[in-house]
Amino acid sequence: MSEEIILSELSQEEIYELMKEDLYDGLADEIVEEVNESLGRGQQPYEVLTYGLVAGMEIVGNDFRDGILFVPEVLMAAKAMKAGMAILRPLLAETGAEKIGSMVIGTVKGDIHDIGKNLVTMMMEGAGFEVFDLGINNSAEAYIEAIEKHDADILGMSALLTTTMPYMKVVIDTLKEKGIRKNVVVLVGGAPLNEAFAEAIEADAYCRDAAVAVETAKKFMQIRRGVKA
Amino acid sequence: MTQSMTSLERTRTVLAGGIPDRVPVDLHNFMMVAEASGAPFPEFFQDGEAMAEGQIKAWREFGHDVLILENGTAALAEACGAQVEYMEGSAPVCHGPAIKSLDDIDKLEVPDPYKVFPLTENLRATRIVAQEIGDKAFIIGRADQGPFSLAAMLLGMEEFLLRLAQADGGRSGRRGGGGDAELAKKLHRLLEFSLAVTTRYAYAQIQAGAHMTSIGESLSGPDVCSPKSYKTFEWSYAKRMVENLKADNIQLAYHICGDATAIVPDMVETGATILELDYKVDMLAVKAATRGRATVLGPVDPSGVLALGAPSDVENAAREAIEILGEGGGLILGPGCALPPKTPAENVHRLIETARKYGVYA
Repeated sequence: MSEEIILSELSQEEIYELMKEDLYDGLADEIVEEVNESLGRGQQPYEVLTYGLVAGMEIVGNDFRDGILFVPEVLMAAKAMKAGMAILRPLLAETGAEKIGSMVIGTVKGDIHDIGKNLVTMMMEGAGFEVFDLGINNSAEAYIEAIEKHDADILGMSALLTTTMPYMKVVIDTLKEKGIRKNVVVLVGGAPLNEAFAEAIEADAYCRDAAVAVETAKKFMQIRRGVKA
Repeated sequence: MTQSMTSLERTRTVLAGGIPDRVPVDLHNFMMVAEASGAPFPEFFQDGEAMAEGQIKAWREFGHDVLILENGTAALAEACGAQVEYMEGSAPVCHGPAIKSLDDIDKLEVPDPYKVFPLTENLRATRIVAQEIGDKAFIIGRADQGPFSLAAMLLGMEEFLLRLAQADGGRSGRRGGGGDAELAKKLHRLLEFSLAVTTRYAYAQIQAGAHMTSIGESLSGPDVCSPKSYKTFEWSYAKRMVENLKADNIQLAYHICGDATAIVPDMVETGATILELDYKVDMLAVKAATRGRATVLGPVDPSGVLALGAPSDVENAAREAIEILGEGGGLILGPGCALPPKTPAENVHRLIETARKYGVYA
Protein backbone atom coordinates (compact mmCIF):
# COMPACT_ATOMS: atom_id res chain seq x y z
CA MET A 1 0.00 0.00 0.00
CA SER A 2 2.76 2.40 0.84
CA GLU A 3 4.06 4.43 -2.05
CA GLU A 4 7.74 4.39 -2.83
CA ILE A 5 9.13 5.59 0.44
CA ILE A 6 12.47 3.99 1.14
CA LEU A 7 13.16 4.43 4.82
CA SER A 8 16.92 3.95 4.54
CA GLU A 9 17.08 7.01 2.30
CA LEU A 10 15.40 9.25 4.85
CA SER A 11 17.09 11.21 7.59
CA GLN A 12 16.09 10.34 11.16
CA GLU A 13 14.12 13.58 11.44
CA GLU A 14 12.21 12.63 8.32
CA ILE A 15 11.48 9.20 9.76
CA TYR A 16 10.08 10.75 12.92
CA GLU A 17 7.94 13.04 10.79
CA LEU A 18 6.72 10.04 8.80
CA MET A 19 5.95 8.16 12.02
CA LYS A 20 3.67 10.98 13.12
CA GLU A 21 1.83 10.86 9.80
CA ASP A 22 1.55 7.08 9.82
CA LEU A 23 0.26 7.02 13.39
CA TYR A 24 -2.30 9.62 12.41
CA ASP A 25 -3.37 7.41 9.53
CA GLY A 26 -3.32 4.29 11.71
CA LEU A 27 -0.76 2.33 9.67
CA ALA A 28 0.56 -0.35 12.02
CA ASP A 29 2.87 -2.22 9.61
CA GLU A 30 4.57 0.99 8.55
CA ILE A 31 5.08 2.03 12.19
CA VAL A 32 6.77 -1.29 12.92
CA GLU A 33 9.14 -0.78 9.99
CA GLU A 34 9.96 2.73 11.13
CA VAL A 35 10.58 1.70 14.74
CA ASN A 36 12.92 -1.06 13.60
CA GLU A 37 14.71 1.21 11.17
CA SER A 38 15.22 3.83 13.88
CA LEU A 39 16.51 1.32 16.42
CA GLY A 40 18.77 -0.15 13.75
CA ARG A 41 20.34 3.28 13.33
CA GLY A 42 21.16 3.37 17.02
CA GLN A 43 18.30 5.53 18.26
CA GLN A 44 17.52 4.86 21.91
CA PRO A 45 14.17 3.19 22.64
CA TYR A 46 12.98 6.18 24.65
CA GLU A 47 13.91 8.49 21.77
CA VAL A 48 11.81 6.46 19.35
CA LEU A 49 9.00 6.45 21.88
CA THR A 50 9.20 10.17 22.57
CA TYR A 51 9.94 11.67 19.15
CA GLY A 52 7.96 9.12 17.14
CA LEU A 53 5.10 7.45 18.95
CA VAL A 54 4.29 9.89 21.72
CA ALA A 55 4.77 12.95 19.51
CA GLY A 56 2.46 11.32 16.98
CA MET A 57 -0.18 10.35 19.52
CA GLU A 58 -0.13 13.89 20.87
CA ILE A 59 -1.30 15.15 17.49
CA VAL A 60 -3.93 12.42 17.40
CA GLY A 61 -5.04 13.29 20.93
CA ASN A 62 -5.27 17.01 20.16
CA ASP A 63 -7.30 16.44 17.02
CA PHE A 64 -9.57 14.08 18.96
CA ARG A 65 -10.04 16.76 21.59
CA ASP A 66 -10.80 19.33 18.89
CA GLY A 67 -13.38 17.17 17.15
CA ILE A 68 -11.29 16.55 14.02
CA LEU A 69 -10.73 12.87 14.71
CA PHE A 70 -13.27 10.50 16.28
CA VAL A 71 -13.09 7.20 18.13
CA PRO A 72 -12.73 4.90 15.06
CA GLU A 73 -9.75 6.88 13.74
CA VAL A 74 -8.17 7.09 17.19
CA LEU A 75 -8.56 3.32 17.58
CA MET A 76 -6.67 2.85 14.34
CA ALA A 77 -3.91 5.15 15.58
CA ALA A 78 -3.84 3.34 18.93
CA LYS A 79 -3.50 0.03 17.17
CA ALA A 80 -0.49 1.35 15.27
CA MET A 81 1.00 2.71 18.48
CA LYS A 82 0.46 -0.64 20.16
CA ALA A 83 2.38 -2.36 17.37
CA GLY A 84 5.27 0.05 17.93
CA MET A 85 5.10 -0.30 21.70
CA ALA A 86 5.28 -4.08 21.42
CA ILE A 87 8.82 -3.65 20.10
CA LEU A 88 9.81 -0.84 22.43
CA ARG A 89 8.31 -2.01 25.74
CA PRO A 90 10.83 -4.81 26.49
CA LEU A 91 13.71 -2.55 25.47
CA LEU A 92 12.42 0.27 27.68
CA ALA A 93 12.14 -2.14 30.59
CA GLU A 94 15.79 -3.18 30.09
CA THR A 95 17.00 0.40 30.05
CA GLY A 96 14.99 1.08 33.21
CA ALA A 97 13.52 4.38 32.10
CA GLU A 98 12.20 6.36 35.03
CA LYS A 99 8.46 6.31 35.64
CA ILE A 100 6.54 9.53 36.07
CA GLY A 101 4.00 7.89 38.33
CA SER A 102 1.67 4.94 38.61
CA MET A 103 -1.98 4.52 37.82
CA VAL A 104 -4.70 1.96 38.45
CA ILE A 105 -7.40 2.07 35.79
CA GLY A 106 -10.59 0.20 34.95
CA THR A 107 -14.23 0.59 33.94
CA VAL A 108 -16.70 0.64 36.81
CA LYS A 109 -19.05 -2.09 37.91
CA GLY A 110 -21.72 -2.89 35.35
CA ASP A 111 -19.82 -1.25 32.52
CA ILE A 112 -17.96 -3.31 29.96
CA HIS A 113 -17.24 -0.51 27.49
CA ASP A 114 -13.49 -0.26 27.52
CA ILE A 115 -12.47 1.44 24.29
CA GLY A 116 -11.90 4.81 25.92
CA LYS A 117 -10.20 3.26 28.91
CA ASN A 118 -7.81 1.36 26.62
CA LEU A 119 -6.91 4.57 24.81
CA VAL A 120 -6.14 6.29 28.10
CA THR A 121 -4.02 3.32 29.18
CA MET A 122 -1.96 3.49 26.03
CA MET A 123 -1.50 7.24 26.16
CA MET A 124 -0.53 7.13 29.83
CA GLU A 125 2.03 4.41 29.16
CA GLY A 126 3.37 6.41 26.26
CA ALA A 127 3.73 9.41 28.55
CA GLY A 128 5.84 7.36 30.99
CA PHE A 129 3.31 6.23 33.57
CA GLU A 130 3.21 2.71 34.91
CA VAL A 131 -0.37 1.60 34.34
CA PHE A 132 -2.15 -1.28 36.07
CA ASP A 133 -5.17 -2.02 33.94
CA LEU A 134 -7.91 -3.85 35.85
CA GLY A 135 -10.04 -4.25 32.75
CA ILE A 136 -13.82 -4.02 32.91
CA ASN A 137 -16.59 -4.21 35.51
CA ASN A 138 -14.65 -3.33 38.68
CA SER A 139 -15.98 -3.19 42.22
CA ALA A 140 -14.79 -0.63 44.77
CA GLU A 141 -12.91 -3.47 46.51
CA ALA A 142 -11.05 -4.39 43.32
CA TYR A 143 -9.90 -0.80 42.78
CA ILE A 144 -8.80 -0.42 46.38
CA GLU A 145 -6.93 -3.69 46.45
CA ALA A 146 -4.98 -2.66 43.36
CA ILE A 147 -4.30 0.85 44.66
CA GLU A 148 -2.85 -0.57 47.87
CA LYS A 149 -0.93 -3.35 46.19
CA HIS A 150 0.79 -1.05 43.70
CA ASP A 151 0.88 2.04 45.91
CA ALA A 152 -0.68 3.85 42.97
CA ASP A 153 -0.57 7.63 42.62
CA ILE A 154 -3.65 7.83 40.43
CA LEU A 155 -6.96 6.04 40.13
CA GLY A 156 -8.69 6.27 36.75
CA MET A 157 -12.33 5.24 36.47
CA SER A 158 -14.31 5.10 33.27
CA ALA A 159 -18.01 4.65 32.44
CA LEU A 160 -19.90 4.90 29.18
CA LEU A 161 -23.38 4.51 30.57
CA THR A 162 -25.50 6.96 32.50
CA THR A 163 -26.65 3.97 34.51
CA THR A 164 -23.16 2.93 35.63
CA MET A 165 -21.48 6.28 36.25
CA PRO A 166 -23.08 6.73 39.69
CA TYR A 167 -20.95 3.80 40.83
CA MET A 168 -17.93 6.11 40.70
CA LYS A 169 -19.38 7.83 43.74
CA VAL A 170 -19.60 4.49 45.53
CA VAL A 171 -15.89 3.92 44.90
CA ILE A 172 -14.92 7.39 46.11
CA ASP A 173 -17.12 7.04 49.20
CA THR A 174 -15.45 3.72 49.96
CA LEU A 175 -12.02 5.33 49.63
CA LYS A 176 -13.13 7.94 52.16
CA GLU A 177 -14.52 5.34 54.55
CA LYS A 178 -11.21 3.54 54.47
CA GLY A 179 -9.39 6.81 55.10
CA ILE A 180 -7.29 6.54 51.94
CA ARG A 181 -9.03 9.06 49.70
CA LYS A 182 -6.21 11.59 50.11
CA ASN A 183 -3.56 9.05 49.12
CA VAL A 184 -4.69 8.87 45.54
CA VAL A 185 -5.65 11.26 42.76
CA VAL A 186 -9.01 10.24 41.30
CA LEU A 187 -9.55 10.97 37.61
CA VAL A 188 -12.85 10.08 35.95
CA GLY A 189 -13.87 9.93 32.32
CA GLY A 190 -16.42 8.63 29.85
CA ALA A 191 -18.86 10.05 27.34
CA PRO A 192 -21.80 10.84 29.67
CA LEU A 193 -19.70 12.59 32.33
CA ASN A 194 -18.87 16.23 32.77
CA GLU A 195 -17.05 18.51 35.19
CA ALA A 196 -20.09 19.09 37.36
CA PHE A 197 -20.51 15.36 37.84
CA ALA A 198 -16.86 14.93 38.78
CA GLU A 199 -17.20 17.73 41.28
CA ALA A 200 -20.42 16.32 42.71
CA ILE A 201 -18.86 12.95 43.41
CA GLU A 202 -15.64 14.61 44.65
CA ALA A 203 -13.29 13.23 42.07
CA ASP A 204 -10.14 15.29 41.55
CA ALA A 205 -10.83 15.90 37.89
CA TYR A 206 -12.93 14.97 34.89
CA CYS A 207 -10.87 14.21 31.81
CA ARG A 208 -12.85 14.55 28.61
CA ASP A 209 -10.41 12.50 26.54
CA ALA A 210 -7.14 10.60 26.66
CA ALA A 211 -4.97 13.62 25.88
CA VAL A 212 -6.54 15.59 28.71
CA ALA A 213 -6.09 12.61 31.01
CA VAL A 214 -2.35 12.60 30.35
CA GLU A 215 -2.03 16.36 30.86
CA THR A 216 -4.08 16.23 34.03
CA ALA A 217 -2.18 13.27 35.43
CA LYS A 218 1.15 15.01 34.80
CA LYS A 219 -0.10 18.15 36.50
CA PHE A 220 -1.24 16.25 39.57
CA MET A 221 2.07 14.38 39.72
CA GLN A 222 3.93 17.70 39.85
CA ILE A 223 1.72 18.80 42.72
CA ARG A 224 2.25 15.47 44.51
CA ARG A 225 5.99 15.67 44.01
CA GLY A 226 5.86 19.20 45.40
CA VAL A 227 3.96 18.03 48.45
CA LYS A 228 6.23 15.08 49.03
CA ALA A 229 9.46 17.07 48.56
CA MET B 1 -56.52 24.90 31.86
CA THR B 2 -54.06 22.55 33.47
CA GLN B 3 -54.64 18.85 33.02
CA SER B 4 -57.50 19.13 30.58
CA MET B 5 -56.08 16.37 28.41
CA THR B 6 -55.29 12.72 29.08
CA SER B 7 -51.69 11.59 28.72
CA LEU B 8 -52.55 10.01 25.42
CA GLU B 9 -54.18 13.14 24.00
CA ARG B 10 -51.42 15.35 25.30
CA THR B 11 -48.67 13.26 23.75
CA ARG B 12 -50.47 12.79 20.45
CA THR B 13 -51.11 16.50 20.19
CA VAL B 14 -47.41 17.26 20.60
CA LEU B 15 -46.41 14.59 18.07
CA ALA B 16 -48.86 16.04 15.55
CA GLY B 17 -47.16 19.41 15.91
CA GLY B 18 -49.92 20.93 18.00
CA ILE B 19 -49.99 22.63 21.40
CA PRO B 20 -51.25 20.51 24.28
CA ASP B 21 -52.47 21.63 27.70
CA ARG B 22 -48.97 21.20 29.11
CA VAL B 23 -45.61 19.63 28.30
CA PRO B 24 -45.89 15.83 28.57
CA VAL B 25 -43.31 13.87 30.56
CA ASP B 26 -41.65 10.55 29.81
CA LEU B 27 -39.57 8.29 32.01
CA HIS B 28 -36.81 6.09 30.70
CA ASN B 29 -36.95 4.04 33.86
CA PHE B 30 -36.49 0.34 33.16
CA MET B 31 -33.60 0.15 35.62
CA MET B 32 -35.51 1.98 38.36
CA VAL B 33 -38.35 -0.44 37.83
CA ALA B 34 -35.99 -3.40 38.19
CA GLU B 35 -34.59 -1.92 41.40
CA ALA B 36 -38.07 -1.28 42.81
CA SER B 37 -39.16 -4.85 42.07
CA GLY B 38 -36.72 -6.27 44.60
CA ALA B 39 -36.05 -9.18 42.24
CA PRO B 40 -32.55 -9.99 41.03
CA PHE B 41 -31.88 -7.95 37.87
CA PRO B 42 -30.98 -10.97 35.71
CA GLU B 43 -34.30 -12.60 36.55
CA PHE B 44 -36.30 -9.45 36.15
CA PHE B 45 -34.94 -8.55 32.71
CA GLN B 46 -35.84 -11.97 31.34
CA ASP B 47 -39.42 -11.89 32.59
CA GLY B 48 -41.94 -9.97 30.49
CA GLU B 49 -44.67 -10.19 33.07
CA ALA B 50 -42.50 -8.81 35.85
CA MET B 51 -41.29 -5.96 33.63
CA ALA B 52 -44.88 -5.10 32.71
CA GLU B 53 -46.05 -5.19 36.31
CA GLY B 54 -43.15 -3.00 37.39
CA GLN B 55 -43.81 -0.45 34.64
CA ILE B 56 -47.50 -0.25 35.50
CA LYS B 57 -46.70 0.16 39.17
CA ALA B 58 -44.25 2.97 38.42
CA TRP B 59 -46.84 4.63 36.20
CA ARG B 60 -49.40 4.52 38.99
CA GLU B 61 -46.84 6.04 41.35
CA PHE B 62 -45.55 8.83 39.10
CA GLY B 63 -48.31 9.41 36.56
CA HIS B 64 -45.97 10.17 33.67
CA ASP B 65 -47.46 10.53 30.20
CA VAL B 66 -45.05 8.42 28.16
CA LEU B 67 -43.62 4.99 28.98
CA ILE B 68 -40.58 3.57 27.23
CA LEU B 69 -40.45 -0.21 27.39
CA GLU B 70 -37.22 -2.14 26.94
CA ASN B 71 -34.86 -4.40 28.84
CA GLY B 72 -31.62 -2.65 27.94
CA THR B 73 -29.67 -2.42 24.72
CA ALA B 74 -28.72 -6.00 24.01
CA ALA B 75 -32.01 -7.77 23.20
CA LEU B 76 -31.60 -7.88 19.42
CA ALA B 77 -27.92 -8.72 19.66
CA GLU B 78 -28.77 -11.66 21.91
CA ALA B 79 -31.54 -12.79 19.57
CA CYS B 80 -29.00 -12.75 16.72
CA GLY B 81 -26.55 -14.93 18.63
CA ALA B 82 -24.23 -12.45 20.37
CA GLN B 83 -23.12 -13.29 23.90
CA VAL B 84 -25.09 -11.36 26.44
CA GLU B 85 -24.58 -11.35 30.16
CA TYR B 86 -27.33 -10.53 32.64
CA MET B 87 -25.63 -8.84 35.57
CA GLU B 88 -26.86 -7.80 38.98
CA GLY B 89 -27.52 -4.11 39.37
CA SER B 90 -27.12 -3.27 35.72
CA ALA B 91 -28.76 -3.76 32.34
CA PRO B 92 -27.80 -6.83 30.31
CA VAL B 93 -24.58 -6.26 28.40
CA CYS B 94 -23.26 -7.66 25.16
CA HIS B 95 -19.72 -8.91 25.61
CA GLY B 96 -19.13 -11.25 22.71
CA PRO B 97 -19.90 -10.85 19.01
CA ALA B 98 -22.30 -12.99 16.98
CA ILE B 99 -19.86 -13.32 14.08
CA LYS B 100 -16.09 -13.57 14.02
CA SER B 101 -15.57 -11.55 10.87
CA LEU B 102 -17.37 -9.69 8.13
CA ASP B 103 -17.06 -12.79 5.99
CA ASP B 104 -19.58 -14.56 8.24
CA ILE B 105 -22.54 -12.29 7.54
CA ASP B 106 -24.35 -15.06 5.68
CA LYS B 107 -24.43 -17.13 8.87
CA LEU B 108 -26.75 -14.60 10.50
CA GLU B 109 -30.51 -15.02 10.43
CA VAL B 110 -33.17 -12.41 11.07
CA PRO B 111 -34.75 -13.54 14.37
CA ASP B 112 -38.50 -14.04 14.55
CA PRO B 113 -39.51 -11.74 17.41
CA TYR B 114 -42.45 -13.99 18.27
CA LYS B 115 -40.21 -16.99 18.76
CA VAL B 116 -36.76 -15.86 19.80
CA PHE B 117 -35.82 -14.93 23.37
CA PRO B 118 -35.58 -12.28 24.80
CA LEU B 119 -37.67 -10.48 22.17
CA THR B 120 -40.59 -12.70 23.18
CA GLU B 121 -40.40 -11.45 26.77
CA ASN B 122 -40.06 -7.80 25.80
CA LEU B 123 -43.10 -8.14 23.54
CA ARG B 124 -44.98 -9.80 26.35
CA ALA B 125 -44.24 -6.80 28.55
CA THR B 126 -45.46 -4.43 25.84
CA ARG B 127 -48.63 -6.47 25.32
CA ILE B 128 -49.53 -6.46 29.02
CA VAL B 129 -48.78 -2.76 29.55
CA ALA B 130 -50.74 -1.85 26.42
CA GLN B 131 -53.72 -3.92 27.55
CA GLU B 132 -53.72 -2.54 31.05
CA ILE B 133 -53.03 1.16 30.58
CA GLY B 134 -52.68 1.70 26.82
CA ASP B 135 -55.94 3.63 26.74
CA LYS B 136 -54.53 6.17 29.18
CA ALA B 137 -50.76 6.42 28.77
CA PHE B 138 -48.64 6.67 25.64
CA ILE B 139 -46.46 3.61 25.17
CA ILE B 140 -43.20 3.47 23.26
CA GLY B 141 -42.16 -0.14 22.69
CA ARG B 142 -38.49 0.18 21.94
CA ALA B 143 -37.22 -1.79 18.97
CA ASP B 144 -33.88 -1.96 20.75
CA GLN B 145 -30.81 -0.87 18.78
CA GLY B 146 -30.86 0.64 15.32
CA PRO B 147 -28.91 -0.79 12.37
CA PHE B 148 -25.56 0.82 13.21
CA SER B 149 -25.39 -0.04 16.92
CA LEU B 150 -26.73 -3.53 16.32
CA ALA B 151 -24.17 -4.16 13.59
CA ALA B 152 -21.44 -3.08 16.02
CA MET B 153 -22.62 -5.54 18.65
CA LEU B 154 -22.87 -8.36 16.12
CA LEU B 155 -19.29 -7.85 14.96
CA GLY B 156 -17.89 -6.61 18.28
CA MET B 157 -17.71 -2.92 18.98
CA GLU B 158 -13.98 -2.37 18.63
CA GLU B 159 -13.70 -4.50 15.52
CA PHE B 160 -16.65 -2.68 13.97
CA LEU B 161 -15.20 0.75 14.67
CA LEU B 162 -11.78 -0.25 13.37
CA ARG B 163 -13.32 -1.57 10.16
CA LEU B 164 -15.34 1.59 9.87
CA ALA B 165 -12.20 3.71 10.07
CA GLN B 166 -10.49 1.55 7.49
CA ALA B 167 -13.47 1.67 5.15
CA ASP B 168 -14.07 5.36 5.55
CA GLY B 169 -10.58 6.68 6.07
CA GLY B 170 -9.11 9.30 3.85
CA ARG B 171 -5.43 9.43 4.78
CA SER B 172 -3.72 12.68 5.35
CA GLY B 173 -0.08 11.57 5.35
CA ARG B 174 2.30 11.41 2.43
CA ARG B 175 1.63 7.75 1.82
CA GLY B 176 -1.80 8.79 0.57
CA GLY B 177 -4.50 6.30 -0.25
CA GLY B 178 -8.10 6.32 0.86
CA GLY B 179 -10.79 4.11 2.29
CA ASP B 180 -11.17 0.44 1.53
CA ALA B 181 -14.16 0.16 -0.82
CA GLU B 182 -14.44 -3.63 -0.56
CA LEU B 183 -14.59 -3.38 3.20
CA ALA B 184 -17.20 -0.64 2.99
CA LYS B 185 -19.36 -2.95 0.89
CA LYS B 186 -19.19 -5.67 3.53
CA LEU B 187 -20.09 -3.21 6.28
CA HIS B 188 -23.09 -2.10 4.27
CA ARG B 189 -24.20 -5.71 3.94
CA LEU B 190 -24.06 -6.10 7.71
CA LEU B 191 -25.98 -2.84 8.13
CA GLU B 192 -28.64 -4.06 5.68
CA PHE B 193 -29.03 -7.20 7.75
CA SER B 194 -29.31 -5.19 10.96
CA LEU B 195 -31.88 -2.89 9.37
CA ALA B 196 -34.03 -5.91 8.55
CA VAL B 197 -33.72 -7.23 12.10
CA THR B 198 -34.61 -4.00 13.86
CA THR B 199 -37.43 -3.16 11.42
CA ARG B 200 -39.08 -6.51 11.92
CA TYR B 201 -38.92 -6.09 15.68
CA ALA B 202 -40.34 -2.56 15.37
CA TYR B 203 -43.44 -3.92 13.61
CA ALA B 204 -43.82 -6.55 16.32
CA GLN B 205 -43.76 -3.86 19.04
CA ILE B 206 -46.63 -2.06 17.31
CA GLN B 207 -48.55 -5.30 16.89
CA ALA B 208 -48.10 -5.92 20.60
CA GLY B 209 -49.94 -2.69 21.26
CA ALA B 210 -47.26 0.00 21.52
CA HIS B 211 -48.36 3.40 20.20
CA MET B 212 -44.97 4.02 18.75
CA THR B 213 -41.54 2.45 18.52
CA SER B 214 -37.98 3.65 18.98
CA ILE B 215 -34.36 2.82 18.17
CA GLY B 216 -31.11 3.67 19.93
CA GLU B 217 -28.13 4.63 17.77
CA SER B 218 -25.83 6.29 20.27
CA LEU B 219 -22.73 4.66 18.87
CA SER B 220 -23.18 6.51 15.58
CA GLY B 221 -23.28 9.91 17.31
CA PRO B 222 -20.49 12.49 17.42
CA ASP B 223 -19.29 11.36 20.84
CA VAL B 224 -17.98 8.30 19.02
CA CYS B 225 -18.08 8.67 15.24
CA SER B 226 -17.47 11.54 12.87
CA PRO B 227 -20.50 13.23 11.30
CA LYS B 228 -19.05 11.97 8.01
CA SER B 229 -19.16 8.34 9.20
CA TYR B 230 -22.65 8.98 10.53
CA LYS B 231 -23.78 10.19 7.13
CA THR B 232 -22.15 7.30 5.25
CA PHE B 233 -22.95 4.39 7.54
CA GLU B 234 -26.00 5.34 9.59
CA TRP B 235 -28.13 8.12 8.20
CA SER B 236 -29.57 6.43 5.13
CA TYR B 237 -30.48 3.33 7.15
CA ALA B 238 -32.31 5.34 9.79
CA LYS B 239 -34.08 7.28 7.03
CA ARG B 240 -35.17 4.10 5.27
CA MET B 241 -36.42 2.64 8.51
CA VAL B 242 -38.48 5.78 9.17
CA GLU B 243 -39.88 5.71 5.63
CA ASN B 244 -40.77 2.02 5.75
CA LEU B 245 -42.57 2.42 9.06
CA LYS B 246 -44.31 5.63 7.99
CA ALA B 247 -45.76 3.82 5.00
CA ASP B 248 -47.64 1.77 7.58
CA ASN B 249 -48.47 4.77 9.77
CA ILE B 250 -45.91 3.84 12.40
CA GLN B 251 -43.89 6.59 14.06
CA LEU B 252 -40.30 6.22 15.19
CA ALA B 253 -38.36 7.83 18.03
CA TYR B 254 -34.67 8.12 17.22
CA HIS B 255 -32.25 8.09 20.15
CA ILE B 256 -28.64 9.24 20.07
CA CYS B 257 -27.11 10.25 23.38
CA GLY B 258 -24.09 12.35 24.18
CA ASP B 259 -23.60 15.64 22.38
CA ALA B 260 -25.44 14.98 19.13
CA THR B 261 -25.78 18.68 18.26
CA ALA B 262 -23.65 18.44 15.10
CA ILE B 263 -25.91 15.82 13.53
CA VAL B 264 -29.31 16.96 14.80
CA PRO B 265 -30.17 18.58 11.43
CA ASP B 266 -29.37 15.24 9.76
CA MET B 267 -31.42 13.37 12.35
CA VAL B 268 -34.35 15.66 11.57
CA GLU B 269 -33.91 14.88 7.86
CA THR B 270 -34.54 11.19 8.53
CA GLY B 271 -38.16 12.18 9.17
CA ALA B 272 -38.21 10.57 12.63
CA THR B 273 -41.17 11.81 14.67
CA ILE B 274 -39.21 12.05 17.93
CA LEU B 275 -35.53 12.75 18.55
CA GLU B 276 -34.48 11.45 21.95
CA LEU B 277 -31.63 13.75 22.97
CA ASP B 278 -29.30 13.95 25.92
CA TYR B 279 -28.42 16.84 28.21
CA LYS B 280 -25.16 17.48 26.35
CA VAL B 281 -26.88 18.95 23.29
CA ASP B 282 -27.06 22.67 22.61
CA MET B 283 -30.75 23.29 23.27
CA LEU B 284 -31.00 26.46 21.20
CA ALA B 285 -29.48 24.77 18.15
CA VAL B 286 -31.74 21.77 18.66
CA LYS B 287 -34.84 23.96 18.90
CA ALA B 288 -33.90 25.76 15.71
CA ALA B 289 -33.40 22.46 13.85
CA THR B 290 -36.49 20.67 15.16
CA ARG B 291 -39.09 23.45 15.29
CA GLY B 292 -42.19 22.31 13.45
CA ARG B 293 -40.40 19.20 12.17
CA ALA B 294 -39.79 16.83 15.07
CA THR B 295 -40.54 16.46 18.75
CA VAL B 296 -37.63 16.42 21.18
CA LEU B 297 -37.74 13.86 23.99
CA GLY B 298 -35.29 14.69 26.77
CA PRO B 299 -32.91 16.35 27.67
CA VAL B 300 -32.64 16.31 31.46
CA ASP B 301 -29.40 14.72 32.71
CA PRO B 302 -30.39 11.28 34.06
CA SER B 303 -27.34 10.75 36.29
CA GLY B 304 -25.89 14.09 37.32
CA VAL B 305 -29.29 15.71 37.88
CA LEU B 306 -32.06 13.15 38.23
CA ALA B 307 -30.12 10.45 40.09
CA LEU B 308 -27.56 12.50 42.01
CA GLY B 309 -28.97 16.02 42.11
CA ALA B 310 -31.35 17.62 44.57
CA PRO B 311 -35.03 18.18 43.68
CA SER B 312 -34.20 21.85 43.10
CA ASP B 313 -31.56 20.84 40.51
CA VAL B 314 -34.20 18.78 38.74
CA GLU B 315 -36.57 21.70 38.73
CA ASN B 316 -33.96 24.09 37.35
CA ALA B 317 -32.91 21.73 34.56
CA ALA B 318 -36.52 20.94 33.67
CA ARG B 319 -37.55 24.59 33.62
CA GLU B 320 -34.68 25.50 31.35
CA ALA B 321 -35.64 22.69 28.96
CA ILE B 322 -39.30 23.74 28.99
CA GLU B 323 -38.40 27.36 28.31
CA ILE B 324 -36.14 26.64 25.38
CA LEU B 325 -37.38 23.40 23.86
CA GLY B 326 -41.02 23.56 24.92
CA GLU B 327 -41.71 26.92 23.34
CA GLY B 328 -44.53 26.45 20.83
CA GLY B 329 -44.79 22.72 21.57
CA GLY B 330 -42.39 20.07 20.29
CA LEU B 331 -41.17 18.77 23.66
CA ILE B 332 -41.67 15.65 25.73
CA LEU B 333 -39.77 16.37 28.92
CA GLY B 334 -37.71 13.61 30.50
CA PRO B 335 -34.28 12.10 30.85
CA GLY B 336 -32.45 11.95 27.52
CA CYS B 337 -31.06 8.53 28.39
CA ALA B 338 -31.73 5.72 30.86
CA LEU B 339 -32.25 6.56 34.52
CA PRO B 340 -29.91 4.76 36.96
CA PRO B 341 -31.48 2.12 39.24
CA LYS B 342 -31.29 4.22 42.39
CA THR B 343 -32.82 7.42 41.06
CA PRO B 344 -34.73 8.98 43.99
CA ALA B 345 -38.52 8.94 43.58
CA GLU B 346 -38.57 12.46 44.99
CA ASN B 347 -36.63 13.72 41.97
CA VAL B 348 -38.93 11.96 39.53
CA HIS B 349 -41.94 13.51 41.22
CA ARG B 350 -40.30 16.92 40.99
CA LEU B 351 -39.68 16.44 37.26
CA ILE B 352 -43.36 15.80 36.68
CA GLU B 353 -44.48 18.57 39.04
CA THR B 354 -42.24 21.00 37.18
CA ALA B 355 -43.97 20.14 33.89
CA ARG B 356 -47.37 20.61 35.57
CA LYS B 357 -46.35 23.91 37.09
CA TYR B 358 -44.15 25.52 34.47
CA GLY B 359 -44.97 23.55 31.33
CA VAL B 360 -48.55 24.80 30.95
CA TYR B 361 -49.42 26.37 27.60
CA ALA B 362 -51.57 29.46 27.78
